[in-house]
Amino acid sequence: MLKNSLITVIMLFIQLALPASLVAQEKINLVLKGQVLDAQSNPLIGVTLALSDSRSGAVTDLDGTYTLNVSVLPGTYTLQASYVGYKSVTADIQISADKNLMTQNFTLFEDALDLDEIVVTGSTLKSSRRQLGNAISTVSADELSKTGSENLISSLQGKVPGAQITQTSGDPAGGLNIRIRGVNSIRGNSDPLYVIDGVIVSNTTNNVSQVSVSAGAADMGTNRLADINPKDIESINIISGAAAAAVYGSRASNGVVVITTKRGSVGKPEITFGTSVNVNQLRKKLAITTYGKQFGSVAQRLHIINPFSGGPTVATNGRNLPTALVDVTRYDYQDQVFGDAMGTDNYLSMSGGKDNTKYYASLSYMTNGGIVKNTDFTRYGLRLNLDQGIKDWMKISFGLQYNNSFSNEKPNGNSFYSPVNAINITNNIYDITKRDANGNLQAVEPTRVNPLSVIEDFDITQEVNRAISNLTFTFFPLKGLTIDYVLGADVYSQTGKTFIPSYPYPGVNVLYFANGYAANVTSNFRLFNNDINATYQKDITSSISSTTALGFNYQYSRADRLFSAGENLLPSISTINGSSAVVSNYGLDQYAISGYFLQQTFGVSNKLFLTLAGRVDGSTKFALDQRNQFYPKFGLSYVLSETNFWKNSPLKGINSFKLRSSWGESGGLNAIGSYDRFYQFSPVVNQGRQTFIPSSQLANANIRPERTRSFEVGADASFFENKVSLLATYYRNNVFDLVVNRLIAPTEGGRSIVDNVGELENRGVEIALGVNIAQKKDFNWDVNFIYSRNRGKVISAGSPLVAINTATGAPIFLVQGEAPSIFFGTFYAKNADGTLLLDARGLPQPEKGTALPFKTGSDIPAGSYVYAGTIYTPKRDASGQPTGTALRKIIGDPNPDFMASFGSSVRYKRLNFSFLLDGVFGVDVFNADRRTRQGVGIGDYAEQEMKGELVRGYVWAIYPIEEWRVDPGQFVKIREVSLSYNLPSPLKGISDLNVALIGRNLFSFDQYDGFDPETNAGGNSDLFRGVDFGNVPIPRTFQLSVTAKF
Amino acid sequence: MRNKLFLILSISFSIFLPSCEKEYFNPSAAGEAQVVSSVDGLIALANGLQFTYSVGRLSPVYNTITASGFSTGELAILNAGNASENFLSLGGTFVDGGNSIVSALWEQNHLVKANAEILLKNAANFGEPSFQSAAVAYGSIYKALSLGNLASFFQQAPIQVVSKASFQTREALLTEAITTLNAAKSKVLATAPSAAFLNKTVGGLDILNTINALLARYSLMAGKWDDAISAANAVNLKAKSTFRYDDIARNPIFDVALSNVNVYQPINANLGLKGDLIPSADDKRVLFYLRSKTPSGTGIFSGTGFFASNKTEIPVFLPGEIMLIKAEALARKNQLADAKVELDKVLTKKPVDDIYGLGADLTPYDGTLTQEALLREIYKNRSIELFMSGLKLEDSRRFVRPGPGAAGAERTRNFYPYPNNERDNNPNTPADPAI
Repeated sequence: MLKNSLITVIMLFIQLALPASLVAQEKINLVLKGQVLDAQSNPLIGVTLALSDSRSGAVTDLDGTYTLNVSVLPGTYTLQASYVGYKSVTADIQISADKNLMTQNFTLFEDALDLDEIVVTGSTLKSSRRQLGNAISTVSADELSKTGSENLISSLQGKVPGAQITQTSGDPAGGLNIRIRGVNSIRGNSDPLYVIDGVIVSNTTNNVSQVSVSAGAADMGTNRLADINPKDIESINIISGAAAAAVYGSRASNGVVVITTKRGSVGKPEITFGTSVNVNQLRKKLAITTYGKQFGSVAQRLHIINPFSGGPTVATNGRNLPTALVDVTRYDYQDQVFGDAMGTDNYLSMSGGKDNTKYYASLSYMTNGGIVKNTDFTRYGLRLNLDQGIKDWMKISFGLQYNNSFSNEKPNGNSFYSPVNAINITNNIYDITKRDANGNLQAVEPTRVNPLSVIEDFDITQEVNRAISNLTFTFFPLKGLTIDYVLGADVYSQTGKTFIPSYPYPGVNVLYFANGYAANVTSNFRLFNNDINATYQKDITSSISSTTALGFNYQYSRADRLFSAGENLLPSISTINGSSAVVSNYGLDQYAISGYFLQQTFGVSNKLFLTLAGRVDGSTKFALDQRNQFYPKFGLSYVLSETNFWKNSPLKGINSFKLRSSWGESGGLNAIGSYDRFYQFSPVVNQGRQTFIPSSQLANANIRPERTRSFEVGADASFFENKVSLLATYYRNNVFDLVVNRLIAPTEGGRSIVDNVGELENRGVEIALGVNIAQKKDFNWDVNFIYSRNRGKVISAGSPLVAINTATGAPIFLVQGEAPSIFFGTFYAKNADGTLLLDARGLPQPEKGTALPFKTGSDIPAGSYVYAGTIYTPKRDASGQPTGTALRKIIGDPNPDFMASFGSSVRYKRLNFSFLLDGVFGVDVFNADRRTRQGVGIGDYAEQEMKGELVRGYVWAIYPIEEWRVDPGQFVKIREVSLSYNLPSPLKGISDLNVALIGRNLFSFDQYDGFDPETNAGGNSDLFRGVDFGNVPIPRTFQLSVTAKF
Repeated sequence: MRNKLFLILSISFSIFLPSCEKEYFNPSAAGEAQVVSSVDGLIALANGLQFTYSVGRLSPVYNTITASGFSTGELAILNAGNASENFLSLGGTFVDGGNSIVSALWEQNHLVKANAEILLKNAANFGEPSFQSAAVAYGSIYKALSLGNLASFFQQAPIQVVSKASFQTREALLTEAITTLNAAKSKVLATAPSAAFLNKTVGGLDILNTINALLARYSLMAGKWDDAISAANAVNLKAKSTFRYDDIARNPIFDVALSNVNVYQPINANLGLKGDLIPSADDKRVLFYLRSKTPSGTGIFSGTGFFASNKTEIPVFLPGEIMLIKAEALARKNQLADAKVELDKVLTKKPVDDIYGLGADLTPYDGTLTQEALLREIYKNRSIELFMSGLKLEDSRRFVRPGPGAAGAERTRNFYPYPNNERDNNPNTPADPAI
């Protein structure tokens, strides 16, 4: 209530403050013209000219000239010419009634640091880089056009310092995971907040199509930024740290991705038509044996590891394994599952404007095939952006995106009937293409699914209809005062259908829906935001400037989901209507957040800037007495290179140098369920009788947001006549009040309680280095290098050791004092010299010993080690063999040591060549499929056992050793290669024609024993990472595109 | 105009901003206060007890049968990838506090107990005495079942539902179960449970017979032979009492294990019994529990019996168990001739005469009439008649069969270690048993 009154008071204040006098005077119509050149006197195209009346603007054309029609009151104005990569220049313009044509030329000098570039820091707040205490990275439309990807997030791979971007599945509708400066939450996701033109948009992974699988902590499927067409994007600012905390408070802790779409500018209409065709291919095949032998008998399942009677055997770890070989014929099912796939992308846009009206409109149709046969993703959409000046003091912007996305899918990983896992889990001695007289596929190994049934008969689709719209009112009631009011809405519906027909052959495991399965899921999502921001700029003295921002916002999210699934399908019915046992449920999730903030920036001589901000907000997710969260923020920026001291010192060789630092707090609420503060009794379907199950999760009446305290310090510098730029940042983020679904003693009457008991820490370094090697009229060569490292640590997770539930066998744990989500499992017993300790038959074995409670501070005897309050001590029996319980230790870490990318772009006359190498280093993957292949008897170890190159029983001996399945996940990929040629006016009416050949993910340098180490069965989950379990590999893509401007 | 516009905008904005006290509730779930304040809510809670106890891989029904089956050699693991089942089958120190079956066994029995307490605590909310009687009976049966299970697999466990609960001996747990059942029995005898209540439950439970049968079972476990006999005498052997299932709420043993060859199946045609315990070749009970005495090509014996399909009902107790309880209690009291009479009833029971079609159809006992020999025969018959009932670990200890480490060991654990989630969060958790 207090908040509402406050707003009304402030609104009234604003109204009273509006002077009535502004309306009276006579306006002057005048034309401003001129040319903008660079230091070498080359014309600059696309320079923005803005007059200080805040409304009039123009852009330079191919000759670097501009024409600006203004209609203003007489007086002194400043005209600013700004261009990305160059220092802005201003000129004073005296406007009086005696002139109606003026000429003003500009010469712009390069600024490798873009200090005067205006970036959006959240909602409608803008700031020049010069003022910011935070690192903000920007990706431009030009960079997005050379990626060969139709997905916005994957287009960012290798381009953003501090962001780890993983394509978790090669499915064309698969997911992408983006983490900025590590994982900030363990129960919620660490996905940043996405804002498009002021509208908060959803990137959630709401799984409506992959519903037949229960996959623990996995978060599978498409994350919904897939609905955005990258070609509509003008720029993307990635704001890590606390910079956006004032505007987004309880939602800012994961960083904010501010996306700005293209807008029209005054001038004749520009029409762009683009078309492309691409081919996707499987980059690398798995090592599957086609050695024509098998142990025991033809009927022997899991012939490498299963016991056998009826022939010679050897005893290994409690099993009598067959030793005699029989003849079989082996096939490689990869040939049936994978195939080359095509895609096309067509795009038409039109932009322009006249007087007070500017527009941008686009239409696109994209379809992309998957390398798993019968999978694809199609997206068509339109966008309309309209800017209309209404009055001197008012402007309205309107934006609308509509799109329809449709995918044909196959089961993702995490099940034995996904197309890829069907390859891994099925003994390959069956000709899967064989059919009976009716054309039906034939059975393979008992219980398993013929991989071709999945390809041919499973029908899994997802359809999304989405509208993202914004209406922004901008008022200029007073000189220096801007008030923005944004109404944003992101609304979409999803329909998922799954149909698994009953198999035309017997013997399939009922868990793989032997009698058929159908699911129909619909979901509706709605996200509204209302932001009102007032910014007041004033020069207090000639050297001290002040910018004050005050704002309120309110966000409301509503998602519902109707789920129905059933088994035992009637023949020829592909929906739940055919099921004799349907399970349905409906879920509704709603929450709201509201808050207000005040942000004050003081600038001294345009060199030193201090920003202070505070925000108070609350969400309905929080306990009632936790709804006034306060988030403070400080920022400091000092452009040292513009001080006289610098200019007169030897340091002046460094052309520009800025020091920056910020400290702030922000919140996170993704980890809190909308109803976690209640003890809930849920209905279940139980034989037609009303049934309530009390939740095993007890209520927490004191739940509050996770709170991230971020500190960063950095410097931006350019050297050698601005040919080299360097940006370096060190940061430390501590997440307090980390929300954990804390296990409790079951004797309390529940399993868990959602509680603010954890703490996480992330520390890291980000470096971006850019070198302009050559810049001539006909030849330009740039090189870019990005390095990021992050060290995450679970300081506390509620329990010393928290197991993350997966369906993959991966032993993922949160271990107190270690990096998040490490692999903690059984490992090889070794001799003192580091060699494997072999048993009497020469087989490796797991380490054994004792695991006992450890009192902190006690001595740790040599040979023992401690994790999370337990001391582990390997033991040897009299004969020197391991004895006791199988011990566990950290056997792998899915968090990389560092990430690095290297890109270069060369232009010779009209020919452009660029490439991007992207690498992730010092990272492990839990390769669950590797053991599966060996146990089934189709892998390379299996082949070696059959050929006698490994001791018989080797695979079975190392089967329980989880360390065996940890593989190096390090890779360097040739992420992008692009070759393009520009034809100016090739035909009458076409002003520009660009032809490009682009390759994506062409090659990977890695030592991974699988398709691709860049993968994750956990989809977009933050806790369940670096696991390979039937995942679709990322394809290699070649694209040919033609873009014409009219 | 400008001022008016501002006024309109500011008012509309104020309306958009909700107050901080807004609460959104989950329309698909209810709060405890709402549930226990209505008769239908409490009946739904009673059905919830049945569901939590008997449906799903976490359920006590699944975990008692699976754990006991592996620890006493009834079951064979088919895929070592089912890690918890695999470690249970290996037994000994392979079974640790992180074993998911042991954890579920502990956790779900405690949850059933805690939820049963909610029903018992609120039974008085029913105005109608016959409703109260039904609610108390339901709550008591599930509370007793969970206490009995805990006493079967763990040396100690808390009875009270509190934070940092203190542990009681398994004898105290059995005493609490018996006390609870006796209280329920007098309530039920005083006022018959409401038919209106029972009609709204999933059904299957014959309340009075179940109370008596459980009294007999737990009195026997507690060594109270006379109480066991009198309770057993009160059981009507022609009345079924079962957990019911359908295609959605499925028979958990069939659903998870016996429907496929990927988790476990019975170990062999002797039901895992060795030496003088091997079932007679004519014993018809073996083919009640197995689809065939000859294994499949890959050496797998397929189980059936009470786990034949998604819908197969699982009995809460068997008539044969009641007879064998009597036989054992009498034998332990050294009334050997009376014991033989009860034992012979089981040995000579024809399938057609059993409500479940389970019968040995053998000749009467003709071995020596010593207590030791009789008890061995009773144990053998319990092992066959009550195959895969979850009772064998308790039986193996009570009959002092060779334990882990002993020659000819018949079980791989005596008791289970306390699960990690208890130990990590309750400082009163005792030391784990050695084996």
